[in-house]
Amino acid sequence: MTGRSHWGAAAVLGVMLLSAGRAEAGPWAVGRGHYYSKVSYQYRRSTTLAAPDGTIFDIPTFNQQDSAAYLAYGATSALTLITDLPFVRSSDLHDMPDELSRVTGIGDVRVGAQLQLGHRGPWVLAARGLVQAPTGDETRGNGLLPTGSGAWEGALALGAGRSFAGGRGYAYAELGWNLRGSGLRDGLLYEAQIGWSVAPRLVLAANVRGLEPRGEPPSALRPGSFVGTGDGVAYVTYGPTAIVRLSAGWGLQLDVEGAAHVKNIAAGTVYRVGVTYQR
Amino acid sequence: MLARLLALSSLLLLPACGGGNPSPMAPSTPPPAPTPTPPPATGPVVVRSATIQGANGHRAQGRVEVVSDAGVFRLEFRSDFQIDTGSIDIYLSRQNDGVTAADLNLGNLRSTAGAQSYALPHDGNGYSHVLLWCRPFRVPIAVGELK
Repeated sequence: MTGRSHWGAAAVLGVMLLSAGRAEAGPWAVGRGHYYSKVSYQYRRSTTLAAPDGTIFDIPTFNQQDSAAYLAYGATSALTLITDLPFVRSSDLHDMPDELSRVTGIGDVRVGAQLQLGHRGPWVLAARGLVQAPTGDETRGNGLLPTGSGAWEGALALGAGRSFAGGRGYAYAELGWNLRGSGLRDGLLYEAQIGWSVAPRLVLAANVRGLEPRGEPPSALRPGSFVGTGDGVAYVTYGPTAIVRLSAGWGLQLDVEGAAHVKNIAAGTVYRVGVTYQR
Repeated sequence: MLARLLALSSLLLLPACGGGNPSPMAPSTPPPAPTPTPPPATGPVVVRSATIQGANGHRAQGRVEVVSDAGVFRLEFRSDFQIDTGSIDIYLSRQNDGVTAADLNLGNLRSTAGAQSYALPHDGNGYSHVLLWCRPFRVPIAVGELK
């Protein structure tokens, strides 16, 4: 066993919690009759675990892979409907003996809507709401490798964005509240992204986002987990994104994420690749 | 006549004063049998105990006791015991933050809540803590100091 300060560990984190529910297109509306879709694959490899109080431990190698389908559809010029289906979540821990084995299943499905509240010049303001259904299984791997939180959850967020330099650059920020059922602690959500078109078909962006639980721990004892679905999960993630515009609405998105200030989650670098299509 | 009546009334009053016990002065009552001395207690005896608390922010609670019963030792979790994680090994350890090969592994925790009992090969003397260890991830989840 090795315990270390979470600041000294330089741990990086893979966060899948609400990751696919993030503002894929920021506060901008998709537009009536238009849609944006994305099929993504995410891989995380962890050799460290952040305990609920932030203490970092070395652990056997933990791998997690997530595949998800995301769709945003413009119901009106201002209202965008969102669905997010994590259709495969697979994880394993290389413990000896390998008693947990590989766990695979559907994750927690999310649906929601984003309403563009205003648009003035380069500025846009939007509100977003998501509901997460407990379609995953919180008991998998004896509760250590759950595919969902086992609770109804949701998120409400306000976001503002603007474009600049004649549309070559953009930036947005969001602030919201993560609502968690079954006695799990709610928390503060935040996210920001700044991007720049470095070439006609290439956008590079920098991201930061996080979750900070607020309030008292649940009175009833909740099953813990180390994969980001338990109570009191906290993180700040950061990393680059590259968006490649292919032809006829197709695109490719690549993300790498690291993090600090992690609690109650296995930590490791996240690599994500997504194929996008918009019309 | 008066003397005979007084003697009769004294006999009638005796039970009310003596609470029904035969008078030790009554020559016709046999002496009471000696009260048998109770044998030494042979029931379970708590040798040491600990209050379980979560480690590193994990949540756990309850009382655990090392119990001796006719020379057989057990580690008994009481009904107030709860822990937030499964796949736990129970250790008697010499430290509160991890396990070593010298510590005593009592096997898998059978339930994350409630009373349960585990056999001990001896009284556990020499071990200072009960440590609940997440076996697959190899991290401490809860600990209690034996006193």
